[in-house]
Amino acid sequence: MNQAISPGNSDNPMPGAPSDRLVQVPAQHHILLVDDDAELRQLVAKFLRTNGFRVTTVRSAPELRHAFSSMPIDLIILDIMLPGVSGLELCREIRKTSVVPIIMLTAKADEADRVVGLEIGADDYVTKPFSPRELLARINAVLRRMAIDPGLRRPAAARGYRFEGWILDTLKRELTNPDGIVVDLSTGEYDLLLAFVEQPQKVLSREQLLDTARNRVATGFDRSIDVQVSRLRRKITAGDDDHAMVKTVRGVGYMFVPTVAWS
Amino acid sequence: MKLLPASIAGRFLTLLFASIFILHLGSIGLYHWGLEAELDVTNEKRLAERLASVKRAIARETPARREELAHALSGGPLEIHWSENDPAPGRTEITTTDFASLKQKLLSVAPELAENGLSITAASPLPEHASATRFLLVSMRLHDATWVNVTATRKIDPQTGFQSVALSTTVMVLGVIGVAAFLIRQLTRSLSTLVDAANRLDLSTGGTPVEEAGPSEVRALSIAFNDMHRRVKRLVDDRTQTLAAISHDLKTPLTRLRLRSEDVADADLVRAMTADIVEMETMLDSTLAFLRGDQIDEDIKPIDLGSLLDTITSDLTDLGYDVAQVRASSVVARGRHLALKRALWNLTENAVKYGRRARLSLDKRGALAVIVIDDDGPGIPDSEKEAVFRPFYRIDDSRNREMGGVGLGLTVASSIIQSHGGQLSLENRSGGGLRTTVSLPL
Repeated sequence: MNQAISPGNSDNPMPGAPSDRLVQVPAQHHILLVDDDAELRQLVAKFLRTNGFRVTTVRSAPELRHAFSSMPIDLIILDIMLPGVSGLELCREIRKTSVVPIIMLTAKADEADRVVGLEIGADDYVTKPFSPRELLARINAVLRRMAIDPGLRRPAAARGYRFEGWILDTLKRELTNPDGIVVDLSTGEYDLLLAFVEQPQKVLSREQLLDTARNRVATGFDRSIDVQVSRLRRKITAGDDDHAMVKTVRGVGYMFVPTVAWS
Repeated sequence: MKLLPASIAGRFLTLLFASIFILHLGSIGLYHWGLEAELDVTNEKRLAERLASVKRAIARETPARREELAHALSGGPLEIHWSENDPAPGRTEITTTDFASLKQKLLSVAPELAENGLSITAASPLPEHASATRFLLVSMRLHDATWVNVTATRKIDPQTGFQSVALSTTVMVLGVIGVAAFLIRQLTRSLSTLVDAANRLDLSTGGTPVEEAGPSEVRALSIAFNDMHRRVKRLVDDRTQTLAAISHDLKTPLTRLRLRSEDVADADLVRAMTADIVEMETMLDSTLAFLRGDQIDEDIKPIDLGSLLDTITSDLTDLGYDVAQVRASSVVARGRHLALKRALWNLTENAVKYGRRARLSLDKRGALAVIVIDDDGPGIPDSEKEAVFRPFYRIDDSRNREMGGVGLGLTVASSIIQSHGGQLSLENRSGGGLRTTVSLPL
């Protein structure tokens, strides 16, 4: 993938340092943040700006419609609870005319269920109280996916990757094997697999994988990449070890062998 | 009251039986009474006519042949004799009103009976007529001052009456009770439906749990029951929503707190704050999960339980706990992925927190997937085994307070497993420690 729109690949000067500046984004993405809580808007906007995004904040549906029609927007962060109108409805409305990536902010698990369950066209969701890193990771993942498939030629209902009969649902964050059986993944394993399927047949260094993973979720990734990879391998073996999907590239890192398609 | 059966049907049928019996007895009594009165009138008329003809015939015969003729005329209830003298001289003529009215009735039919003199008295019963209940002696004086004496008997068979009453009552009662039993079954069936509905009362479902049909009283009861169900549900829903709203509203300030903590320079402080926030978040999540209960609208899918236990094992290991799988096999069960993960996570987390370490095993036994979680802790006293499943309950042990959590782990796990048609059991192992067994239908 090209360096400019793949922020996960950009060099991080101090890996692991407690810093806001986890990623440098060369091309400034414009994010539209929709939330009715003024302080939260301000805090999120500040955090995103320090991480190199251009942020416009609005607090209601009419303001959102106005902003969206008057300037180019790369991504919308949409709170599900807005005064007067449901974020789910707004998301559906935007989807009718645009393929702009949308990340929903939910506060209740059942709201998350609705984002996942209904075909509202959201690309991802973050549950409050989210960690800033998690939000950043989701934003980067969605932008990266957009970069892989800029025109979003994927069908509207598509929301996952398919490889050798396996399906990785990025909205439900769920892996299904070729027999249709759900195979459970830890957060770390999911992040790792997502990093692989986003860049298949490419050798990824341990540092790259660590970066991608750390950008996503802060917890549960303290084990070395090798441990995570071996755990993931155990879960996605198709029976024989010769046909391993994750290949070790001696001295460099790992490579995801299967071809991956949008599903 | 003790005499009545407990069930409505039993009481109803007893009542029905008793009233039919009384009614029947009464009506048969009345019938007999009327029949007897009717018979009396006919009898008296016939008696009068017969007495008159006897008198006429005997009067016309020569005295020598009169007794012979009298004997020949005897028969049925009448026994006739002829005598030259008064058979009962010095008697008091007409002693009771009963006989007076009889005499009057006889005379109104055949006035010639009294031409030369007539007396009606009660006759003392003769030994050979032991079954006879009434004796009547009618003495008629002829023109030549001789007497014709007629003894009348009336027989009553007391047994035939009672037998017929008993028989007809039985037949009738059986018939009516048959029909009544059928009808009352219909009636009580709607009541049993109501009882079933009350037993199955599930507040998570809306609508009307009981069909509002049947007899008006039962329908009124059903409507009242449905109404009560609605009110209870609204009450519970209101409280659930209040709690959910509070939990929900706490999330925005928590998010702000989390974002603000990014500005704190002290890395240790940030870590401590994040840990606090995560703990609060976990408590809110478990409360919300508990409140949502069965409302989880996750799809039912085949789940690889082995991978689920793998994840739990590695995640808890990463958090520094002693968890291992002693026996793992690939078992697939249909269920809700995240719900099952939460349930098994809660149980394993309890094991490592209260029992120092957890040993997991997964097996297929018949049509069941069996997951056993063993720990090395103090176990659970038998007296607490029921209570630990109650929401917000914690075994009163100051040590447990430090473990965090709100006391919903087991409650949530248990309700999730039950909603999957599975079973959760806790037992103290003989060698110490607690064994938690989860069985899920495949």
